[in-house]
Amino acid sequence: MSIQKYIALIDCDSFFVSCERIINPELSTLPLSVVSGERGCVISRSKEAKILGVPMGIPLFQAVERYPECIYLSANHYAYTLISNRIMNLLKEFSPNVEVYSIDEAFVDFTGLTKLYKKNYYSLAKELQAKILQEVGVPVSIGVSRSKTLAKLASDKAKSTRDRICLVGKCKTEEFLSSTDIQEIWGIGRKLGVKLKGLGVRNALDYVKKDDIWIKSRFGKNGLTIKSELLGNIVSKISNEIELPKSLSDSKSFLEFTSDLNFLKNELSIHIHEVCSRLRKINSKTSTIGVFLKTKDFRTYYEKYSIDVPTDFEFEVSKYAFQLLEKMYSSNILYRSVGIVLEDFNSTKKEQLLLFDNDEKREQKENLGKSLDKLEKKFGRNIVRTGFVNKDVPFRQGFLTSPKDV
Amino acid sequence: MLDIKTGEKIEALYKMFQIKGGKRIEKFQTTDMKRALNFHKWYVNRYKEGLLMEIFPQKKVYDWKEKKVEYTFE
Repeated sequence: MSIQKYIALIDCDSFFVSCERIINPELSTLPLSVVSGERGCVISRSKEAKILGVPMGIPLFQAVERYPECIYLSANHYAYTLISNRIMNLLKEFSPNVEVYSIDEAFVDFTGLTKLYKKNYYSLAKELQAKILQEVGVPVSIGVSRSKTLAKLASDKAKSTRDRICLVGKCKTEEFLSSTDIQEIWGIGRKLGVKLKGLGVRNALDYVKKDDIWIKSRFGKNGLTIKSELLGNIVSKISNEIELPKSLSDSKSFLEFTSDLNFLKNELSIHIHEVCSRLRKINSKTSTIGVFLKTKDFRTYYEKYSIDVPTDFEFEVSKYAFQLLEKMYSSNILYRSVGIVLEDFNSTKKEQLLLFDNDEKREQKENLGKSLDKLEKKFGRNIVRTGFVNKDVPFRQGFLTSPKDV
Repeated sequence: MLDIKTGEKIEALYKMFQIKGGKRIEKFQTTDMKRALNFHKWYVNRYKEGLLMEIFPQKKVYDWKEKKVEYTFE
């Protein structure tokens, strides 16, 4: 007989706002919203801002008119990543099996921990919650159940409970599913939810009671996976292995629309440097380089190019990226942003060397890349500007998220 | 504001921006968070319009030529 698994989903409450309150404790009781950028939208709200009625995703220019009492803060993603890493490290100390799902969410395997800590699941969750609040200062909601989908639902329910913990055991599952709307289920969106409601499936329990053949014929394999997970059978396991990303991209809107090619190139170099250093961190090289340009009226141009020899070096990437940019660029169009997308990654450990390649040059490039990373680690981001076209052309991005800013 | 790594208090420059016609117009800047919040309160009461706050922590810059340490908010 196999042991019944128990999974917890740890979800940080209003994560970006909580981080801002750690850095600036003076903001702790004020209505606060974090905004994605200068032309951005509201991405995180405090409880007080929610009471004021500030909706999620509202553009900043509308928000300042409709809800003036709220304080709008520019996001500092570098600081948020540092705080997130601290939380994830705490979770990894607590359990050997942790899957970091996003910057503010993680699945933790609770199986067997009751014997190790000599506590029940509720007390374990309570202890973890107190530990994160005490050591990092971020309030979290915890949902504990027998599968990832159930844990996700439980953590959503936990947000409306007093102690912000929701435990869904085997006996409570049916009652829990009957009170869960079909659209709340992880993996069922608005469109599918409407379709299911049209077919008479109003809550999660109705869905679970449907025949496997009925589900498979309408929603395919994914439909069956959801059903199995709702019944408490683990289909997607917790994996603490970090997978290589499928693509890496970096972009940011300009403060003012522009059609200056040198300015575009400078901004693109910042993004190229950012993705290349990220690429080096995961020990990979790219073989497809893509550049996109967004115009003032939201039209997007995208061009990509595949290279023969994979690279993680700024100057190599910018050589092709600038060519792509020039191909798409038109001097009589105003642009709002430029960005870079890298795809097709190969691990540097399994790198295939070329027969006629100059090993010395390749090593020099690799060492230069590593030196750039070291310099940034020591002196802060953008201390060295790689591939800059013209120093007189202003560049304003990147400073807000420098390590020295935190 | 507090340093995330050490938890120590560090100086910062608080700037308040008005968002109008897709542009940011700087309205106020101070190194005191309480003053920034008071300005925000006064501005909202007076103009019924919200403000964007940006925080620039103090940076230590070493001048290699002069061999001096300087502090800036940029």
